[in-house]
Amino acid sequence: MTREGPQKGPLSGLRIADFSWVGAGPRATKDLADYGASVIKVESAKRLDLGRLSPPFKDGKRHHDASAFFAITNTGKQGVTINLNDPRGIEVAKKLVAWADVVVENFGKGFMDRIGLSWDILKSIKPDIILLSVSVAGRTGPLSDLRGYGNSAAALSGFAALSGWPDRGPHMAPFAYGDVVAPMMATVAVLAALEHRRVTGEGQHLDVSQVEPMMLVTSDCLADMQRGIEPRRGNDDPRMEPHGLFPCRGPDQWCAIAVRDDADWQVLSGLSGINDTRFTTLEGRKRHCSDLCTSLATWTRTQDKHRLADRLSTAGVPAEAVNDGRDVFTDAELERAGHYHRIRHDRLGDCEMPGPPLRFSDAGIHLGPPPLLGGDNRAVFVDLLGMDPGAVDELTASGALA
Amino acid sequence: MLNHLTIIDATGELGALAGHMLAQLGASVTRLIPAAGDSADPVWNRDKAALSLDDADLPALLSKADILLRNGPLLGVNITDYPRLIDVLLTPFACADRPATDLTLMARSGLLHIGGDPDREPLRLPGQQTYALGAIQAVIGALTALHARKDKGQRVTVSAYQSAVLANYREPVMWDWAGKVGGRQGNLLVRGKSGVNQVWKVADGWVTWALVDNPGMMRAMVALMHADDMAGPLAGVEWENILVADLPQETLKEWEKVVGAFFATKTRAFLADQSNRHGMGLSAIDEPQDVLNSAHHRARSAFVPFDDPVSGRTIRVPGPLFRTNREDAR
Repeated sequence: MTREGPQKGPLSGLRIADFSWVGAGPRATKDLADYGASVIKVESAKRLDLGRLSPPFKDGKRHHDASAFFAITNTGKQGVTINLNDPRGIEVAKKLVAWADVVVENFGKGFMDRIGLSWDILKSIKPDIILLSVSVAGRTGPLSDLRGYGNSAAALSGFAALSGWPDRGPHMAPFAYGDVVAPMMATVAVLAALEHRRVTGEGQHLDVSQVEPMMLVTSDCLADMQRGIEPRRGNDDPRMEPHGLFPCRGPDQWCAIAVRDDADWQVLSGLSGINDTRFTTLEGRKRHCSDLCTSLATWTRTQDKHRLADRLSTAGVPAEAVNDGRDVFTDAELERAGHYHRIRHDRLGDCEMPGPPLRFSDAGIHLGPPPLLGGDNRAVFVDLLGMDPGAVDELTASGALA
Repeated sequence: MLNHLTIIDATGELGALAGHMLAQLGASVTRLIPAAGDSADPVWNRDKAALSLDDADLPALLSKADILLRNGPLLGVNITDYPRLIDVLLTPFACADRPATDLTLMARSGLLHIGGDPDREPLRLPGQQTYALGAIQAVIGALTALHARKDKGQRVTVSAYQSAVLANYREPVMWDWAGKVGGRQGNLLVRGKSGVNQVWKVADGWVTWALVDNPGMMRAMVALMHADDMAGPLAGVEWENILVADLPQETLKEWEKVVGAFFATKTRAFLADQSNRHGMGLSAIDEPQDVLNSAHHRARSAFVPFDDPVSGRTIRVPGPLFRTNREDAR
């Protein structure tokens, strides 16, 4: 069942029963699948994973197997359909639990209990099972019933209030950062629990929220607020100047420049021809930052953002073009690093999917295609779980495995 | 959970969070401080023992360590002398050799391009998010290699830049599949053909909510508006039969005007409470002080006290990474 490339994945042999959907759960199980775990994604045609409805679609035509968004979130998994509102479906789900090392879910609080897959029942099926629950605000506390998306996590963690310009209101990042950070923390939690189980033999129920990881990654900002330092400061950094974006040739083209210390400034001063003794020290550059940034912007405005970034970087000053999606997709660094992996998918065709940002010296990373809806029903129900083919057909026809 | 593990942390700003996370999980973490000092915020180093890099007996430390976290070579150390060691090398780039900061990595990753308001320059995420993303990936790499370790460790290389690109999960794929390049939309969430507002002014502050393709959430909100006779055209919408992402912008604007008028009459607390009861997908936007004072975070012991060397005061900082039934039962 394990999908393996030429070199075995480091999590080869690990088994995941994945009941999660949309972003916060599936991204964690995608990590595990990319590293070689066998992940079986449980869905229902009666309640589609909303990721399957998210654009972009292959050739712009909406179809539940044609979403590229769903694909990049679910590489390397097998897919089955089980109607979790049907008791006969739950009995099949229990067989998957018995097979699995880890069960993953991100339903609303209490749903797993109501359908008969509570923590106690999972333990009775497999005493050392690890259950991962991912939610917006966690499974305990006054907000544990909260249903929502990444924007709720950004709001409740302070992330939205910490984002933005000092003279404007909160800014909501245009993507669900909670759906990025929480699944990473969920992956950490599962791996830590597996290590704990290896040593002690114990399973456990992991409760990963979106809010708490977002607070963790802004610990420095929350500390600054308590130190009396303005935490919502746009692109400024209290320890660097200049530190921001400077206009370049063309509409809405920018280059990020970060001068870490006086030595960086000497280099930049030499390249730009801005020779002003007021700017020699950090204190001076901070005090006269308006004049400094105006002079620097005058110098950058006529230059190509990529060439300017390369020129400054070569001289030792951190600088990068502010890339758009096209710039990123075509970045030679990603090509060289093997960031994109080629997959073959029945609906999407031959295409490239982004892979993990790390490499193992003695293990491979292999991205398999995302599952078609119910595409692995027979392989999983009959071949893996040993169910009678006739019974599977009957359960499928009556809607329990749909 | 990881009390039996020993970690040597030779990272600086890029990576300090990784050692902190492993310490939070119970591992014994020793930080090696270079002679030039360490610019990482002390909140990331608070649960680690510290040794001067110049004085440390590296062979003795590494022979007992399970995981080494580093950003570059350790002078005089041959990693292959420690075959069980999991050697995690976290760098700005996998291939490119150029200087970087959190800001420049974020610029290159595309995350900056889409942040902020259309009338201003692009806006970074708060804090040092590319460093944070790289650090969490380093922990994932370390624990994955630990899972695979029988007798022999291995090297794990982690790119902070690629970690940030992965977080930018929509823009490169939109270019690849739809030939579209996104831009700054302020607080609009753009999906499909249209954008929906995510940040709303209410009577006493701000809340977040959006028109999304979740019929249950939409029905719950409209029911609340209807109770005040303020649902207007939303009362007749059959949410199961439409796709919000495909609606014309004009329709969404008209609907959002109705929602905005309703929100303006309500407080953050009222709307958040109703949402929590009825599953409307709305949250109050908490300022940092609200976050520190939140009853919910208090109930989950989400913050712990920290004697902050910067301010000389005891401040509160995020505590456990997540909850488990094992720890709750203790």
